[in-house]
Amino acid sequence: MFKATTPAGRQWRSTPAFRIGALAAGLLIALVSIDLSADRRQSGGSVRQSSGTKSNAGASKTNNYNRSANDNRTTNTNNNVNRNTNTNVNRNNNVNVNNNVNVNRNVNVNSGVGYGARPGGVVVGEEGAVAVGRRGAVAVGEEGYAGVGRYGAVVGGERYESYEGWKVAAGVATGIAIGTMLARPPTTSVTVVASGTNYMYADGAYYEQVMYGGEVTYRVVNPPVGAVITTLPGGCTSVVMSGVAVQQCGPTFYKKVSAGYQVVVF
Amino acid sequence: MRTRFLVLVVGAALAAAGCARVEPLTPEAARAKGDALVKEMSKTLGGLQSFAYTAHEVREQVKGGQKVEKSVTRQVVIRRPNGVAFTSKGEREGAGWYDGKHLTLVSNTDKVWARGPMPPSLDEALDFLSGEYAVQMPTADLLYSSPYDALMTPETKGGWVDVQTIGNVQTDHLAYQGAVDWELWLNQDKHLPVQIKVVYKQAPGQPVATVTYSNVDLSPQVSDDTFVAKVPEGFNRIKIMRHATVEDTAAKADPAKADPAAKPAK
Repeated sequence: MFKATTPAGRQWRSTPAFRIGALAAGLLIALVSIDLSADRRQSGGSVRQSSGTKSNAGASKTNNYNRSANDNRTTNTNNNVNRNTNTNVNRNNNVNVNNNVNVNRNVNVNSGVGYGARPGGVVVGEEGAVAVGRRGAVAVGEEGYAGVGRYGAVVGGERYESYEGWKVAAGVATGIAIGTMLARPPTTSVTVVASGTNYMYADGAYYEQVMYGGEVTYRVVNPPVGAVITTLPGGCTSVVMSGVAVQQCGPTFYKKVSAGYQVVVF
Repeated sequence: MRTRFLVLVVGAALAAAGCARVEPLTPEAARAKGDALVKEMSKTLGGLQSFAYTAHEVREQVKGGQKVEKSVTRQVVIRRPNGVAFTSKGEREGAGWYDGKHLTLVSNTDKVWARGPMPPSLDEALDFLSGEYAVQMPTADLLYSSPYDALMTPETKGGWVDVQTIGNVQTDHLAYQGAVDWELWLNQDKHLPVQIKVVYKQAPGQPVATVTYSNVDLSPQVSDDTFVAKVPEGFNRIKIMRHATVEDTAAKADPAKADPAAKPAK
């Protein structure tokens, strides 16, 4: 979470209005997180994998993505009789970004018959702690485990066929959450490069190509530092951070460069 | 006289029809016959050290309430206990290799590739593919060391149905019902699969996947090199997404005890 302080170094305190707003935003996001699977990918696995007669699989995923941006300005002007004029300008630009992705997968396999009786079948796990495979433990390696490693990442978002499909499912004007996966990038997306990696950019969101389900998929990621876009998304404001004039677009800061606007962090 | 002639003709026709008609089996007999055929197929497939085939897969996907068919043709080589290599052509072209340590997937369409750790045997790898990498394969059941155990459960209902011709091959047609409905066509020569059809009746829109096999080679020329990944020059590596949700604490405490499948990529 990024928390800015006042120029005088005093920490900004949330107002009741902000707290109510944040609560409302949280409720809204929670509603959006409810299963809206109209455009999600279909299953197509094996008979065994899909069979519910021997394996009962239940998956529950909760993706919480809360963004609240507060720009509170208070201008107090006191004009006293002695003609001493004090002007206090307090600007608090607080951006609280909570990207919480909770994935709880619970796979229960009733062993003892057929598939379940196979040597070392899927291990029964408590909620949120599932072990898959005969050996009863998820492999740990530089590639793939729990988001560790350069070439592995954990599924933490829903998958949709398209950006349009996601918008229909989301149903409200909200930013697409980090971790959300699309079968294909938004039609308006453009390629940007940061640190030698290609990303797709559209409507303020950045996507990286990942392999999921054996297919190339586009996953929403945090704005990559150094990426340059030609046009800012809507709703940006001018702010000064660490003495640098930048554009703040939601939780992302952009610095004006010759080619456009570059993602920067403070 | 004329009437007597007609009676004779009709009688002869009925007699001929009776001889040609296959008496329907009782449910018990149909199940027993189907069970025997699946066991025979399982024994044959499970006993093969290596084999190769072409699989033409047509899979329905439900998008926006509409069914869309996607088709892909794969050339597959299997070597037990831990070798798979395939190339695929269709809407998305690519290739893949499993060598007992890693899964490597290449997308020629997107010019990218990904690699992740895998368990050491094919049976475990098939579990892992479905559970961890979310790769759904309608044909996976037939690749286990015991396809019978993968396909059959005590709750599975059905059995032998009739004799049908697929292409120019006479087949025994089996049909089963369970959490998913599936049909299997086995050639009458070696009781090997000619076609399998799976109906995911619990999925929205009840999509269907049909896989037709051809060019089955029960003694293909394979070597270790067959299962070595060959990534084309210039392709970018991307992340592979997993559903890893559990930590191998034993491996973390003592890497020497790590699951063999978990060894980092070299």
